[in-house]
Amino acid sequence: MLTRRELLAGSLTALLLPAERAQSGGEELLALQGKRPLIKRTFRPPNYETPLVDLRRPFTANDAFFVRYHLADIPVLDPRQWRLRVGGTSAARALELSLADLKAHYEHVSVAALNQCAGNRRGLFTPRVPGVQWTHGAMGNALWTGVRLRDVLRAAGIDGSALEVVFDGADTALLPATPDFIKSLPIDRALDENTLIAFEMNGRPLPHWNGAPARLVVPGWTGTYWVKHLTDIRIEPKAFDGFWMKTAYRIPTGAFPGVRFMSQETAETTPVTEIQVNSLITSHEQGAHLALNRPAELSGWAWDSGTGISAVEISTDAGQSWSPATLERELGRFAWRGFRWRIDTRTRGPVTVLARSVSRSGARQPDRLTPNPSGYHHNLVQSVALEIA
Amino acid sequence: MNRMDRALPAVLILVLASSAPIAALAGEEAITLTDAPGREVTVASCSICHSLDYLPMNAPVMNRATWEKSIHKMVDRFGAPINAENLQVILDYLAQHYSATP
Repeated sequence: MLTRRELLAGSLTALLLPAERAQSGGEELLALQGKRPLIKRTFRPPNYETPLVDLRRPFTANDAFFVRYHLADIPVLDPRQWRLRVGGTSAARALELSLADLKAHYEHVSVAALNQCAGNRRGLFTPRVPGVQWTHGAMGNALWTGVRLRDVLRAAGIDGSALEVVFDGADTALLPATPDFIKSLPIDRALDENTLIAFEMNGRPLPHWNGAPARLVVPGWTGTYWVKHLTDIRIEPKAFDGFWMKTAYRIPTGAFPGVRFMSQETAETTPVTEIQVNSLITSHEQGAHLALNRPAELSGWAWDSGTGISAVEISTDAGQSWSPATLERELGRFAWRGFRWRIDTRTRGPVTVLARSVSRSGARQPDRLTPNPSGYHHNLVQSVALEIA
Repeated sequence: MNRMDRALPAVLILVLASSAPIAALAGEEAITLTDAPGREVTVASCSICHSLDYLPMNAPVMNRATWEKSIHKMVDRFGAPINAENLQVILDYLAQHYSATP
């Protein structure tokens, strides 16, 4: 029997989210304000992933884009009141910029880039590891528009002592003792022409849940650096020593390929940095049925940290032989790249399809996972079981 | 306004209005943890900072040792106001009811 509290809570939920509760493959779909129903992992802080069905378009819809927060106090910012402060020990001067200043005084640039949480697919790790149990949808591809971070940093004046640039957003913890979510980048990455302070996503203002009114966009690097609701940028001569750099988002040193964040590295651990080569079949859910002798096509996306994808290979014999999929045109080197492959439906029965991508740097998806305590960088060759009947 | 809204009892409208700014969080009130000794302390302590769905979400990965580590992280790293006595209550409760193996 329901208690009065449960009854109230149930009614409230139904009223606040009219017809927006749904099920997808046993997952609970819920809609945050301004979003379509997504797979709810946690309510507070809000962590919602994009269902496979919404990952089929080249650019992930803003209202379907995944939501990831560490801290639960997330103010809705008035874009007219919002200010971005830029300064720090290694800056010549302090700036305070309104959104209008940012838009008026710096060149606008757009970059198509995949934003992927370092912990995407954590829930698929074996053995399992604690943390938000994401499956495939803690990622999305978007066209980000804003200004180059380096143009803003140069306006503040970067002196020779600069080592890292430190970023803070408006989201904070509920308790003062909880470390604020503050991240840093090595100065060279901050000065990379592709690193943006973005205020638009797919031609529209950033959705609240994706960092309005402005967020950092670090193409090729995992989502943890893409600080949302950006409010403070500091150019510093020392390695930033906050919890979210020194303790969280770290992997065993030398365990993964990718650029090294030297000022933050120790003999044991190093920050997670670049996105690993990876791919996802989006055309078919696990266990999908295909009609015998009816033409069918497998499709999905492949991506890496920005060298670009040179091949996607498909196997239907448990990896004994591989054949190339057809690659779609590139959307940009930091974006995912489409692939398709015709499925042979002439034989009745089960077929397991493996897909693996190869980057221009020669990196290939592995057939064994590299264990790490926090379950980052899951890029195992994907396997989808289909049934032809 | 649809028919459902018009039929809304006054008390619900009040609750609804007061929760409007955090409408996105609506729904976590519906989470109920296993009814057993330690539930009240666990709910009161954990829900200060996060919704309770973190507990069942991680249960298949957890055991007493990993819960102990996790609770200490909440206290030592994140500043959760949990005293030693309550820490033990929460640990016993989670180890028994939200673990793959006790």
